[in-house]
Amino acid sequence: MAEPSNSGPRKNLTTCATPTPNCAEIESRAKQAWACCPLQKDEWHAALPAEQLPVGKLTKVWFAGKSILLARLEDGTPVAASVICPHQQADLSQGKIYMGAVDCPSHHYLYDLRTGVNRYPRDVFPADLAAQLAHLPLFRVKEEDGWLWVADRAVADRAVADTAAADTASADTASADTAAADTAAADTASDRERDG
Amino acid sequence: MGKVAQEMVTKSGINLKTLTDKLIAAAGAEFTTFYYYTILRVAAIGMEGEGLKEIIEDARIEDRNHFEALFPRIYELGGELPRDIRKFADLAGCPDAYLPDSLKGGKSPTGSSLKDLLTVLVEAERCAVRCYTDLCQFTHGKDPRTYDICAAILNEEIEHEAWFSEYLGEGPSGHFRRGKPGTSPYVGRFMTADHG
Repeated sequence: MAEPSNSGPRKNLTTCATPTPNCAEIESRAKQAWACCPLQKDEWHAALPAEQLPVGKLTKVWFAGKSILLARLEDGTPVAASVICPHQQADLSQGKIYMGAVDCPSHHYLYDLRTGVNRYPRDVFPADLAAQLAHLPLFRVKEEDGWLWVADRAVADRAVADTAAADTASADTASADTAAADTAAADTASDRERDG
Repeated sequence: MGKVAQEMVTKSGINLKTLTDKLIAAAGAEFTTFYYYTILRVAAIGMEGEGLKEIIEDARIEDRNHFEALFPRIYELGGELPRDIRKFADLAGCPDAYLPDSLKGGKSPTGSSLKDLLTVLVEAERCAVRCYTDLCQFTHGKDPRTYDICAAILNEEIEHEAWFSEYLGEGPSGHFRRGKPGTSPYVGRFMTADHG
């Protein structure tokens, strides 16, 4: 787990204003005074010195009482996401980046790190199963003053919600198509029986 | 089980449990893929589908060969296959390669059922390539026997991916067909059973 030095931006080294019961333990493990503090909307926190995240690297940092995945894509864009795979809770920081997606080391599910959308097996699963695949929660991230800053995940959630809506529509269409096909097959069988 | 063989692997810095878990997941993926490819091969019919049959059969039998080559190493390292095949399937390191909706009368995501079928196949192979790349990197310079087995499998998975990718018009592979399905030119030397 990455442990950023305490020489980060001064405004982020304050103690959490709303500590949880296990706050001290979390702060101790993360060596960050604010590591247990819940993320507030539009509030940015310094997560890691930017130089500690080269292109193609995945790393895990403690944040808001939980660990968060930080990655830098091939074009240099930093991204932040939940470190826990939505499929079976594997640690995504042990995975790799393939074409802008994080590859879960457990079952090799792929999640797009820009949108959080499950890319594989969503693109090959039957529509009803694809619609059940959870997406990877993302956090907003920016690079400023030599640090990577992370904030709440409202923006990413909207993108995922849009995709989920599209999935549902697709599954509904597929179900309707299948139902139509089943009806047609039943009609044919009925015709054969009648004719037969 | 080989006590010294295990000790050498442990002394090289590899966690045996982690390694055997990865190998069991890989073996599970080969076993389930063999099963699903059977269904996919059966569905490859019609003017265009018939041309795909032999190549799916080749990949199908070679995936079974990969399972055959992997499982002795799991036991050598002190691991074991799950007693329950249902658990084994759940542990598989890659998602199930389901028959696409369009081959059951449903909607086609690509507009062509044959292209849907090829997409399932190529993505399954890509998952396998990621799986064995991970295993090769995990064992490189530490466990030469597991590395050799996984590198041999990786060679065949890369060829499988190229075959299906070529069918999808993604570019030439430069490969030529095997002599007969299931030849396993790389993995054959690790198999004790007759492999065709």
